[in-house]
Amino acid sequence: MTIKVRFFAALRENLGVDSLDISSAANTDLSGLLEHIRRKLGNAAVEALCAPDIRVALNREFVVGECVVTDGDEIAFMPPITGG
Amino acid sequence: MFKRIAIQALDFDIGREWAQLRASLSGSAGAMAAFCGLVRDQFQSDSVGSLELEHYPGMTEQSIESVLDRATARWPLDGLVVIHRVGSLAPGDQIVLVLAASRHRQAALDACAYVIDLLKTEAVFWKREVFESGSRWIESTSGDHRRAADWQNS
Repeated sequence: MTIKVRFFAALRENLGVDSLDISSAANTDLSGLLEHIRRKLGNAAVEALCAPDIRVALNREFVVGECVVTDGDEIAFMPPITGG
Repeated sequence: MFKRIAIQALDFDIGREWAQLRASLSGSAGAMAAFCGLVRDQFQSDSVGSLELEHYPGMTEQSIESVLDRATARWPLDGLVVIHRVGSLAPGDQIVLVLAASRHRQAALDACAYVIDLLKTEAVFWKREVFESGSRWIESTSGDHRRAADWQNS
């Protein structure tokens, strides 16, 4: 199964990539996904994604804490937002 | 009730948006209020060359929709419009438009202020100011969060 991971704004610039397609043998969760990302982008990237001000969205809805990720899902990592 | 949300790179025409909202109203609406945000040319002592706005298509619209839903639950509104620009903007450019229509002026004015205050902390956009010497991602200020919190508590 494939999961799309997207990075925005300052995070995208820090990581040098705007999205990743992660292939996983089975359903996973955020921690599992971070391990896939660690293999692709390294420890520093995962550290940046786990910073306290980074918010996570699953299929365009904010999630707090863990969540199950299944085939076709889109996970976004987002630095603090500023609209208006 | 008339509701319009648009996210666009192009500039907007306030007169046209105003006329479109006004044309949608029945005779019971007695007030329209407007707020338009502009790009400032200064941040602290640095001259801003441009402002770049990034969004997350789909989620950004939902985040605005959620703010409008709460405004609609709170005041008896006849119409709400939010136009938000993205891309690269220059100082003086229009960046965001909020229009609210209601039976009475206080509801229109309050709803307009509520929507722009909540957009500051809840709408999914990222802004970067570009200076001659570099650039900086903007974060919402403690004042922005205080105003949003004041609405939750009032």
